[in-house]
Amino acid sequence: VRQEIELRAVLDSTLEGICMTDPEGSIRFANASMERFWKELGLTTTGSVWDRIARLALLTSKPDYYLATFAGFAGDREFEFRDEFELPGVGRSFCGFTAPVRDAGGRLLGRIFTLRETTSERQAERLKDEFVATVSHELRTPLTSIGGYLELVLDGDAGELNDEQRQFLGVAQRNAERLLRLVGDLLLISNVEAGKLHLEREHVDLVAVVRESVEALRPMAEANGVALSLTAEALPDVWGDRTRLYQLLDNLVSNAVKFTAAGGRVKVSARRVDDWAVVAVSDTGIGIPPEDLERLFERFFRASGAAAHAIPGSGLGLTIAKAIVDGHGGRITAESEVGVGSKFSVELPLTASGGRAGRPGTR
Amino acid sequence: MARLLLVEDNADLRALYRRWLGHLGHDLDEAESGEQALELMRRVPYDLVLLDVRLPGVAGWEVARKMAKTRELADIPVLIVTIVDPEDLPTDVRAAGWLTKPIAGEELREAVSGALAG
Repeated sequence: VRQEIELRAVLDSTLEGICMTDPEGSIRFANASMERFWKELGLTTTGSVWDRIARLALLTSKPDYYLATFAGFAGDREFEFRDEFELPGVGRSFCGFTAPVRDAGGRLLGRIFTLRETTSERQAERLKDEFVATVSHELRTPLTSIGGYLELVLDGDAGELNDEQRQFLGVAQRNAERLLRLVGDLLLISNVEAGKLHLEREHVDLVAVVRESVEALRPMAEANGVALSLTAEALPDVWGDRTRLYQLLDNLVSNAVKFTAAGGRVKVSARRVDDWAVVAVSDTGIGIPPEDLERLFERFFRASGAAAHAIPGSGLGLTIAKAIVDGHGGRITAESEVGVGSKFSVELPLTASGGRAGRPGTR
Repeated sequence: MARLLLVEDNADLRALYRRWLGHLGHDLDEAESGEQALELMRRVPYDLVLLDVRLPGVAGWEVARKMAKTRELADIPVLIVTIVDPEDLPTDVRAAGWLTKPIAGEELREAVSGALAG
């Protein structure tokens, strides 16, 4: 009995809301945090836990989705679910979880429901995003001056330059451009996070874009001793943003070249599969371990090999690549084997069918 | 030859734009703030206004809005040079063109010539 009192005190002291029901959903126990959440959110009914969940779903920004999900699992005793959701009306976020509970012998005891408040985490993340966006914006003014005055001097507006002066200023200019690209990437990421990636759509000859990006990277490949090849079949137009699609290809091909040692190969191919254009970039590079593969498209994530081989990068390229592909209603996948190489495949809907993307004529 | 007003609070950028546009041979006046720009516009008939958006005091948007509401200023083309992305611009501000910083000399010259041509 003493143990039970202690256990109850421990459960009541945790910040996470915990509720235990029988397999049918009748509430057997709720800790103090759960009782408090229910009270604060107006979910104190006498019914089963499912009544409370339905009422909670109505407070979220996508009630239909949650109601349908829970209805779909009605009567399924093995049902497990975990999701983070926002309650726009009260300005709070929570992470909810439910799973069956079994004793040591595997006998079903009931079901656990937990609720963890994530409002402050989301707020911190929003502040961070705003900060990154503001700083990136503010960097544009001084970068305009740096780039502009370098351009003036290099154009000879301030008198003739000797070779060494030209070379040094060229280095400064190249790095100012690099900084500018980084700022552009950060702004793009913050737009994606805010759900407003802007695409200027037009009819795009994807093969031409692929060819252009491959040719632009050929000098880098040659300098690194990497054989870069392209095979492409004729494709119908893609309804997309030419600049962004170029950026996508540039990211993938330059990654492949960067991560491949001298003597290796990078192959780029473009072909049609049903109503999809499929562009694949494969390399014989260092490869990506399976545990990194899952996190590859997260922002600022860098695969362990990148650090080990001191390969430069911001960890934004693939996040941007995925955002661009998603924005076009497509799909991007990665396969890899350490020491053998990696392959990135992009599928984009072709104009003729419209695919999952918007119809031509819409944005 | 046309008469241009350059509205930009950053002195380095004013000097840079002046240098870039020097090749075109236009007359160029400068304003550091929105108030100063509106004041100059009342006295001088400009053919084109280059407008930064983030200005101390009266913001660039407000300058453009006030110009649109003032009969003598409503027809002057405005070229907006800003750090703000085009998708974040207010929809009620009319402009002959938008340039997002950072910009290159050739870009600015083309935009100015284009806006003046009409």
